Amino acid sequence: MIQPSRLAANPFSTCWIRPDRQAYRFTRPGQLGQLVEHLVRAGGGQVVGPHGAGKSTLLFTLQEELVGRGYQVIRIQLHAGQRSLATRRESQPPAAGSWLIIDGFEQLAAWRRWKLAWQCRRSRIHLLVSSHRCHRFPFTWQMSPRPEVACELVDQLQQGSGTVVSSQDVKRLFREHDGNMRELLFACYDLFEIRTRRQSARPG
Amino acid sequence: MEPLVSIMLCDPHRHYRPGQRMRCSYQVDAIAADAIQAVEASIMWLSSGKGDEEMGIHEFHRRTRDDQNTDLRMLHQFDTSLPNSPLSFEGTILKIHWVVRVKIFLKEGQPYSRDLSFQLGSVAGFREQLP
Repeated sequence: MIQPSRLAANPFSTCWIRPDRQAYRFTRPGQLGQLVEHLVRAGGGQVVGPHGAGKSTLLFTLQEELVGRGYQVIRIQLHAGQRSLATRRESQPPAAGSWLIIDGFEQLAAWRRWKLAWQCRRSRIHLLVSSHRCHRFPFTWQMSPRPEVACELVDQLQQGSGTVVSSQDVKRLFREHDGNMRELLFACYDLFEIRTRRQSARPG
Repeated sequence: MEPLVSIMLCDPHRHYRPGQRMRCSYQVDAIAADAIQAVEASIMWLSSGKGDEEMGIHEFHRRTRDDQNTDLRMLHQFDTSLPNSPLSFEGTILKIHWVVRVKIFLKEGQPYSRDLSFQLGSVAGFREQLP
């Protein structure tokens, strides 16, 4: 993995905002533990939300928590148009009791989703997926991004650089991008560049 | 406590031309010699910005602790001819940084790394319009 470069002065650069670089922000303390308990009890589940809601970030956070609890976890990222799981023949199948995390479950063809869920049940593998829409799972975590969380995140990202993007900016961008946090952070990147460059170009 | 890594370049302004010879030295301090397993030094570029991150390694050296190298903390020097591209670049959506990275692998705990940036060439005639 490429280490984030301290040279990336824009706090909204990809290296700082990637889903694996930020812990998911829960609205209540202790919520992560509760969520993991629910998932463990249900033997798996799904994280459902719109584009840019933070599903991948949440899956990375859950993965870390599950690994911390001693589970073996395998994570597969599916990209747009990827209709099947490209598994290597030589790779070992996950052991019983381990977790299989699929980010972008809706990309799979319907019968492949069904087959995967069935294979996981049969092999006693816990399946945890993210999707834009609900599928049949024993537990569902519905995500809906909130402007306050976006403001907190932007503040935290700017801790080392000073506030260039204000809370008003974030609330406006949140509305403009319909709560899509990924697009919001990209817009913050542009705002940061424009404002810091104008500031440095100003005489005196 | 974190080890102390000093990286020095032959040009104090740290501005190099493509193809120019660069001499680099580094030294490790504030750590016991037997706590270090290996030291890696790389001359590399990294991209940052709005898109995917990329990196490229131009020069790489690894020294491990053995009978010949019992103390990896000692001042160590190497030199290289810098490449013609990519040049250092400070655009709006893409930035390219050149660094010397020294990474220390400890007997216990996470590796520790330290970067020293330098400029390779300059993208002449490029002027970006602010929106």
